[in-house]
Amino acid sequence: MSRKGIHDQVSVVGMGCTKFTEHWDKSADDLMIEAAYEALQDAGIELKDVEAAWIGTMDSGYAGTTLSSALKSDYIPITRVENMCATGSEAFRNASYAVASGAYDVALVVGVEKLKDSGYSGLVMNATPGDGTAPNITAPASFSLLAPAYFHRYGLEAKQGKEVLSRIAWKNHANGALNPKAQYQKEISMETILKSPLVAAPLGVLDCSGVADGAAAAVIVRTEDSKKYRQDPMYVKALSIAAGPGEGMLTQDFDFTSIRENIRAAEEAYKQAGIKNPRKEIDMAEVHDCFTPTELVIYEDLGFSERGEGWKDVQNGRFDLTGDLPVNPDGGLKSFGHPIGASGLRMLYEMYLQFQGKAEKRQLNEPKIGLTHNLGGYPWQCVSFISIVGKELS
Amino acid sequence: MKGILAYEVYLPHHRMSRKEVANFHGSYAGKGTKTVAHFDEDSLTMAVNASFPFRKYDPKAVYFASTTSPYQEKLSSVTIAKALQLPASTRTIDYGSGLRAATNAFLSGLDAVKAGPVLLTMSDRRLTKPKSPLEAEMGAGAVSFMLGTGDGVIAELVASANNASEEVSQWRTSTDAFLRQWEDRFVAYAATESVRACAEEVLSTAKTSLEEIDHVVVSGPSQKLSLNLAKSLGVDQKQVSVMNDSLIGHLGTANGPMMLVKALSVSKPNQKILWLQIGDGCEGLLLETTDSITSYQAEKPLSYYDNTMNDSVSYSDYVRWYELFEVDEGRRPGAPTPSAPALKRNQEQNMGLIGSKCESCGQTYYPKQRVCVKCHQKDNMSPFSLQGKKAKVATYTVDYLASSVSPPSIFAVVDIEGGSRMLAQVTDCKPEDISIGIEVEFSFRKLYEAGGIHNYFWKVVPKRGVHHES
Repeated sequence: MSRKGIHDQVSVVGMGCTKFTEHWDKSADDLMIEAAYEALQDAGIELKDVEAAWIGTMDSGYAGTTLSSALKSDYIPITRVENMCATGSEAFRNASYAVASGAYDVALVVGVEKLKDSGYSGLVMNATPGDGTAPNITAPASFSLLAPAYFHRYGLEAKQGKEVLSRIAWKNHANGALNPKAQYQKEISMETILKSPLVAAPLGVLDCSGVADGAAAAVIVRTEDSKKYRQDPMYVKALSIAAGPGEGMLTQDFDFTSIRENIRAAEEAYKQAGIKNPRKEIDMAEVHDCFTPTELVIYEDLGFSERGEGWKDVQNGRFDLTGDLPVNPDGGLKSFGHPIGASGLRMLYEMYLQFQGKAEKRQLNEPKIGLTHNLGGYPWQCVSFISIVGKELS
Repeated sequence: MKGILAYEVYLPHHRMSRKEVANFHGSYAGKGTKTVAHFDEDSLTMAVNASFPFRKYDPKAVYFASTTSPYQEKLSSVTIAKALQLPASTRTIDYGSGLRAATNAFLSGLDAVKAGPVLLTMSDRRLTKPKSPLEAEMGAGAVSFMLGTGDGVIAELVASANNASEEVSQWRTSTDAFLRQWEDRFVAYAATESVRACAEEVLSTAKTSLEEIDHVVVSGPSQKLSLNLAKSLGVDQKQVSVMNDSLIGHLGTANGPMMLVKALSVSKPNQKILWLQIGDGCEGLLLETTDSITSYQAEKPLSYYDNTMNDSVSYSDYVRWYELFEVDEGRRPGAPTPSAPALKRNQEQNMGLIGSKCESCGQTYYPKQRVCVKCHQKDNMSPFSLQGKKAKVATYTVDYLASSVSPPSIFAVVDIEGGSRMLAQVTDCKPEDISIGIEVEFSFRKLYEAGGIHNYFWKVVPKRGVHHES
């Protein structure tokens, strides 16, 4: 039997998402409860109807008890999932397979991260004990390696390149300004972004995603059961994830103008969903804009732009809310904020709202196919996740 | 015949003008410059970088002399031997406890050369109290000698003498951070008799006289005092020409050796060099150059360092690099304590910079791998050393957030001759001096200290004198 992927086998019938922000007054438990109950109510079910759950968190709790302890669930199986910044997507992927297999009829997925209790200003991971020789490069610096490499290969002057990156941040802030759940709900001028203090040259602080607390949740059922819950479920057409062997930092034939895991994850997802021309067939996308150069190479890796042309598509507004292929209509990691374990589910939440026509001021014109892309790790080695979701069965 | 086979020096890239020191304190601090170790350099790293070219001599022993060993208890000579990829059978000995560690190690090394060549390295980065007269005086640097026997000897030992004296003149307790010194005039007085007696004995043993000596090297607590002591013996200006320095500063245990190197570098065959090393008395050595001196050329002579240095270090840079005050690390986690088992497992790889090469397809790796990412063969790797290999920058970043004594940190993806690649820290480099395609070379450095462990590893520096001299 040939492999067919997840194609339309499962559907999302309920979703919830907290506001992403510095929740000084809320614990991770508070955030999980808020997102989970919103999703359950949206699906029209109660906690006792959930047969299994997955909790995605990078560092805000260990084991399935992170969620059972918050929800007081009744001894149902719960698995804690971690896949760095792709954690939320990975939890969704695992729950989808469990439901598709028939092992469970109703699964709950929750992603959560409480970053702001650490006392640190950025993302901090617990280091694995080692010999301490790995460079202590920060996350923005590791992704900023893409910028000079891209500018160098495609002949962009430093100033020109910086403007392209800033325009990506500008677009995502403009979108986030329309989103009541986003961390930063205001437009920021190109000039302010261009002049923001350097974090990892050439990236300024406004090239970086927001550091936030938050949670998001989804209820997954098999598609054959979905209409029992709602008339407008979101269908899951493809789920893929690629984990790289790290050759980008071991051999010299990788030039830091793309991320190989993105390319491989996209190939697999398009195959599952039967997509031949992503540029035409995808109506909207939520991608992992952890830092502005990441979003730039993602356009090319996912086939939204030709190789070396992504920067021109940025300049001509192709990915704006009003463009041919809106990317990060909800503001993205940049402006919605990036509570690690929650982000992948937050991207799906935007797809879900857009399909149902509930995206208010940022509502797109009847999108039918959407893509979410979530990445964990470094440009030279990461896990790259892609989902393709739709409004209709195909 | 036994004596010196070869010499090399290492000086930090950075120097600070004495005027900069004086300006800060509102005082006078003399003329010229002094070498300043970068924040990631200590006596051990400088010793490795000075000794780097000596692997080819196949040394049987490594002697390290310094008053500023990174550890009170733990051998630095072992780290140096590992960094030079020397076998575990290499004898490793540390000398310390005063400036005479230099001659102690030198003479002990010569006693041992029958068993094989001895690599001798002297290095210091001494801490001085801000505004003390010593502050403007003390530099940082390392000198290495290969000691051995046979025709390759460029300078042989003719005679030596010792004159011990119990005195408190320049010293530091086991818990002192800064060097202490008694009043200048007493320090001069205290050394006078030992120096005179020592010089007399060496000259008489060698059946020669002061007039016959081509170069006199006196190394004591300070440059001025040393020169005065030399003059008190009755030398002329020409004999002490190698003692004149206004650019490097006093190098501690490496100070006498540095003057010896200067003498050797200008010597013809059959010239005599008298080295009087002060420290709890005085130790004297008389060396005579051989015909082999004419063909010897150091890999990096002193002129290389003089021609490529950065002499614009500010006093505030210096204060940060020598960690003379405590800075707020910001809201970032500190460096994690390295794991001792991981350090031991990876000692050859990390100290020796040895990766692996796939025997099936030829792909090289750093760090070493078990499975080849190209051909997927498992466990068919052989060791592959990156030392001395050409390397260039594929891409880079300037990280303003990474925890560092001297931000911003520069990181580069470095492509190495032979096909491997690594993410490396770039040091001795300004943000404007990094770009895609520039050549870099490996330099042994201290990454950080955590949990009482100095974590040593290799960084890269822009190849000096090629791209970046403004």
